[in-house]
Amino acid sequence: MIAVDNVTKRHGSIVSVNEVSFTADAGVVTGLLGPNGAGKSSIMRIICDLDRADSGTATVSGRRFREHPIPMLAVGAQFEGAGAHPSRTAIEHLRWVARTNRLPKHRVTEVLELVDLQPRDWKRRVREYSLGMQQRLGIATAMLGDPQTVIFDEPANGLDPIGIQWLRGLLTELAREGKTVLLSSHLMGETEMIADRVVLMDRARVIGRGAVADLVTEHGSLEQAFFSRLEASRDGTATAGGGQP
Amino acid sequence: MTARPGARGPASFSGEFLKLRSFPAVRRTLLLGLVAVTAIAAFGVFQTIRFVDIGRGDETGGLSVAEWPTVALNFGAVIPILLGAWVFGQDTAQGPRRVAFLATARRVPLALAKLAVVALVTLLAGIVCTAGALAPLLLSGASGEGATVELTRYGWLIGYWVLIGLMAAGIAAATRNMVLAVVPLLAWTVGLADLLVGRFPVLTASIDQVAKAAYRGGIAPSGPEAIAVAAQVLILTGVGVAVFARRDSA
Amino acid sequence: MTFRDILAGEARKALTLRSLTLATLISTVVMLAFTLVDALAAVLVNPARGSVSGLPGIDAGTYCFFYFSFLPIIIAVLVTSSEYAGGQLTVSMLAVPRRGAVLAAKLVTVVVATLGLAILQAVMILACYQGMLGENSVFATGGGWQHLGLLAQGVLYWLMLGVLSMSVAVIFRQQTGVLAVMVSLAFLSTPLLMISTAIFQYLPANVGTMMFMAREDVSNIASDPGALMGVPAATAVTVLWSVVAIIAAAIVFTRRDVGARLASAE
Repeated sequence: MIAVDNVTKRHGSIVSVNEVSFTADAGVVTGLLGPNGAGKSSIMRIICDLDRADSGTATVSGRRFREHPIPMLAVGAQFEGAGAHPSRTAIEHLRWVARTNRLPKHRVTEVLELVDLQPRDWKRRVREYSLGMQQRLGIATAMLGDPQTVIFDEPANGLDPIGIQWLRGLLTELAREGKTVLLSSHLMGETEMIADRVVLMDRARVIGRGAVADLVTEHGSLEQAFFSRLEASRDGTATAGGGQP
Repeated sequence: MTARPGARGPASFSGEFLKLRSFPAVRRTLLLGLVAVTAIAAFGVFQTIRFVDIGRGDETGGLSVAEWPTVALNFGAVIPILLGAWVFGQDTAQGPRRVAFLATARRVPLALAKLAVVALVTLLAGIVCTAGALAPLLLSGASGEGATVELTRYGWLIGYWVLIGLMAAGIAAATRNMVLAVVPLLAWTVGLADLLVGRFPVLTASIDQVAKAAYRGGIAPSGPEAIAVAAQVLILTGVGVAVFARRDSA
Repeated sequence: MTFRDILAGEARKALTLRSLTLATLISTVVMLAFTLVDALAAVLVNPARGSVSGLPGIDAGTYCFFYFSFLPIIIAVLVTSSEYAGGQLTVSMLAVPRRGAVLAAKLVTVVVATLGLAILQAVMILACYQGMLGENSVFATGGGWQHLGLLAQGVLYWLMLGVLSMSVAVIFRQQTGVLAVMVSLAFLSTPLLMISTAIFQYLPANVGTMMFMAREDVSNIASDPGALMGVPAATAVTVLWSVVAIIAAAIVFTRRDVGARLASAE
């Protein structure tokens, strides 16, 4: 489970995350939904200890990311594409990550097969990859340690329709296996199809939350629900929303 | 392109110039370079004047006050090299390169526009940094034989800056690699050539040695030296343009 | 996860970095070509050149550590700045959130890479100059240990340049700018001794060079030769520069947000 409690992050005079709290439970896909600049990626980076929160706490399975003995076995995360040096091949990239975390070599081929990258592409340089292939390599890196919790930042970016369908299946399967899945997106329709629960964000704050099914029932679609909360928030009439997560 | 036939020439030049102007590294290079060159010149000029005044003129490294601006500008060779490399180097990432090729589909005019931008920017940098390096000398009020400013020498120096900027641009265009465009040329011009020329006299024909003889020694290049310098510049820029024009954008 | 695992990961990164392999190969060829040609010229054409400091051949070839001082800078900056290409740093920090350990492993990688290159240069100097000098070599004339000492100081200088370049690259997250500044510093610090020996002898490239270059060579360009520090002091200042640089890099690296991807050349 991911627990974010009252986290605030400032960059100079700009507040990128403002008193954000939410939880993401095991066995469900939780979506962080909001426009660009809402603070979705920032909160994910704080959860993964890439950035420091000015106040508040973010834990995964009750511990900070860096407190896990081998973090990649507990949490797999993917941010913006492959996260690989452009001159390396996919195999080379995954092998150094695997070696650092004492993961067996065969795990590298397993995750490459999992993300459906063709064997002929495994030894191509990452700089020659399409955006979608880079995205798949990033997801493969996150899955390397077969973690209990996965965090994906805009995972559908650059994926073609077949890729998006594959991603949908992967995330659903991970949740079905009892893993905690947190993803961010600004694509309402896609999130509606993938996520079980959503946390709606705008301008660094949580403006709403709830089960996707409930929000769709109440507003007709997730998009309608989002804009309804957005309008209320910008009018100053919104509460952060109750219930779970 | 069809709608704006003029975009092949002056428009692509303007586009490249605007692109370079908005590249933060260029502003940083110019600003830091100007400050460093001026500071070194000021330190040397005022130290030399002070040493002469207190009777320690033999401890000035044999340099007169008028030589300090050229010494400082000699250190500044890194400025045109970086500027030249960045004109092509800013497009080394796939995205910006594709945009550049879409904006000006004809590669040779695009490469020539970039080289023209290099020439203009390094010329401006040369003029500004020369002014900065000369300022301490002019403000010091130093006079006499050792304080005379020979403008011809600064003309040679500015010309040298333009040429090494073009050479760096040529290497960057050919290799798409900033390290290869900057480091060998920089190491060569700021030190290696000076060190090796004693062992390999043929190196006196290298561009930096010819230029240094002109702007520091006041010796105008001979005909063969000028041809050798032109050949070095033309070979590097020619190879750069040829590779730039023929290679795929991917 | 032990430090050994982190180190193994860093080693694998370095071994699969194409630009590092290429730079090492080119460096080896350049060093070998110059050392060979210069030794031939010094020994066969002008044997007297091997004698600079009074003791025959004692510093023969050690100036190679000055001439090619840009090579360890390139190696160190390539190893360090590769983290900022393609957003790799994010994955590095996810794989090992203990930033101090990552930096220590990176430091070991840089030290091993620059040490390897420096030892290669030292071996080339020994083989080419002293090998060609034959019965006139420093080992035959009793200056062998002193010569080896100078070579060791040259190796130490390259190590210091590597550590310093790595630290600057960590702090500024840059490749081209750091390379330009460090290469300029390596070559242009020495002439600054003409301006003020007392001040500029403390520049890292100057204290480093003073460890292995003939005293006369440095004195010739110094504005005040009497103010030049001795070799032990120069060595101490060199080590101090490295320690201060790596501490500064560690402070910045462990406290700074990884933030969004830094993938641009600039």
